[in-house]
Amino acid sequence: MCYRITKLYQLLLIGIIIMPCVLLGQAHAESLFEQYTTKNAADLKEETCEMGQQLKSYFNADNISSRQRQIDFSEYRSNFKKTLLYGTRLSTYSEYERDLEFARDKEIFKGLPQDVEAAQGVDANQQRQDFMAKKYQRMQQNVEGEISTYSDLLLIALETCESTTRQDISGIQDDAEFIDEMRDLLRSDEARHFQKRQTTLAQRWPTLNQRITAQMTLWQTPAIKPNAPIIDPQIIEAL
Amino acid sequence: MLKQIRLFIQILFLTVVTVGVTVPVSAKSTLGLFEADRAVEIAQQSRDRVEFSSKGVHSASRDLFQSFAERTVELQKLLDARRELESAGFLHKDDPDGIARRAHINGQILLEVGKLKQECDNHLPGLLGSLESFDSAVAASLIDSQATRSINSNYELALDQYLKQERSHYLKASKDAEKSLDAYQNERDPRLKERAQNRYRMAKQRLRQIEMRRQLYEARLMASEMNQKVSNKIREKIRLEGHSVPTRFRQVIASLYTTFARITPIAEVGGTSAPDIWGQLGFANLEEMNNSLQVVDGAIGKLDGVLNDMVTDVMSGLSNIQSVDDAGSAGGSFSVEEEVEYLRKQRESWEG
Repeated sequence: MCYRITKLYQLLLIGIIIMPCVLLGQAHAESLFEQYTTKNAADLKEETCEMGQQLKSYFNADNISSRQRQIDFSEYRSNFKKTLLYGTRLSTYSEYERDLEFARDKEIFKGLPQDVEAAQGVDANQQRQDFMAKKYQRMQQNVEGEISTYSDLLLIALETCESTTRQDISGIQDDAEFIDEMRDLLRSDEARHFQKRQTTLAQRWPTLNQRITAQMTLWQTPAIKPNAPIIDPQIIEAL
Repeated sequence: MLKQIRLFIQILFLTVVTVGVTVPVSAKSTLGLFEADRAVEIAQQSRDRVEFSSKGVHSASRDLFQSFAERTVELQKLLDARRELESAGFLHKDDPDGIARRAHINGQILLEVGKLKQECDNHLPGLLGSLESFDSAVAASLIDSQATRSINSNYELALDQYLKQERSHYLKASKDAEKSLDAYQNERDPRLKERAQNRYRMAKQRLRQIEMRRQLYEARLMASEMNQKVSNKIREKIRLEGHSVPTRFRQVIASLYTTFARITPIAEVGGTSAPDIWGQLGFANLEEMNNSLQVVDGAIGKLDGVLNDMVTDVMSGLSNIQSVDDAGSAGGSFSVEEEVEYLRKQRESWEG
């Protein structure tokens, strides 16, 4: 009997401890619902007005435009750098056929194996010629693979740049800070290397070179705005 | 997206490590062919550069997405409460109290989205900076990995040429061996027979040396082919995936800001004059944001599958490399039949 009472007491104690926890949990889960069902309309309206002011600061049009401009510019600058980089690499292959033929005909390929014993054999010359032919063929394949990779990557980067500047919704071309950054980039080593190789690139890929030049020019000269006067205001003033 | 970058780096690491495992087999030679060492060095530098740069993206994106995930949970709680209130009839548009509740909870939801935007704003400059560095690192690694194509190719050609030269050495040694073996068989004088046997032993020793060198060159060629295969994987991986990671990342962030921008007119009208207008709000814009997140999740899942296939492919390719078998090179008892068999096998292996 005593044991049963003790057991009952224990269960009651556990119940007392657990119940508030369960109720608290439920209260927490339902707090939002209850909050709305118990609060009066006047209080809710007042709080809504306060939230309105806060919300205006979060969703400020200028702030959002500025962030969008940052994202667009970051995408543009990154792709512009890649355009210069891949353009410089591509220019190396401008005259690759001539270079390879010269190397084959003059037997100046690197890695030509020298074996004194084999070189004294009857077919040494034949072996040498076979090696040259194979080396020429392999190098041609490799170069074509590299040209294909660089052209592909260059076009992806260039088209991203063109697409951004063709329809510059966020206005990166009018942002003084971005213009300065791009002009700094045009004075960088990457740009100087590209400019040195531009003539070579133009020999084989003139259209690509023109398109890259057009992108560079955008930042070298001030962009003409659609609403800009046809005659320079300084001339009008002088007249 | 974070998962995608991490996986990309892991695969890159795996493939470069594989290059490191396969090429030194061929590089430690007396041939003086340094190209393979150079290719490994270049591949390791590329890996280090991409790895180092990815740490910045990891850290910047982890912070952003962690805050983003926390805010999304809060947003979900509000959306759930709104749905419960709606179904219980507490947001009725004809009831003034219902309108007040609807405007309030809609305002709270927008405020939560505002906090989400604030998190994005705070992390944006760091994230964009790290993405640009990552982009540059991937581009530089891609250029380096292009060079490994020619380096490996030259190495293969040189090995192939050495193998041809070994063949001419073999032909000469083989003739000597056959001649000595014939002499041994036909000779009756024990002293001359012994001399013929000695000549054969010397010729065979030379054949064994040539055979060892041939096996070594063939193993190197196999390693070189594998190296080329692995380099191709690295090149294609950087080209197809690494190259587009930063752009896709920026697109996701840009689409989030486009969604935020859609809330601006509502915030301006409600904030200045009539917050009650929020009572009439629909939530198509939030749906759109949710869709953007789902697209990111879906893309990560899809990429996981592609990369897993690629890992399996690389690993199964690696299992094709066999260790050099030195059976048949150990001499001991002398049997003409066995030796003829040995010479025949040698010829067959050369004739391929």
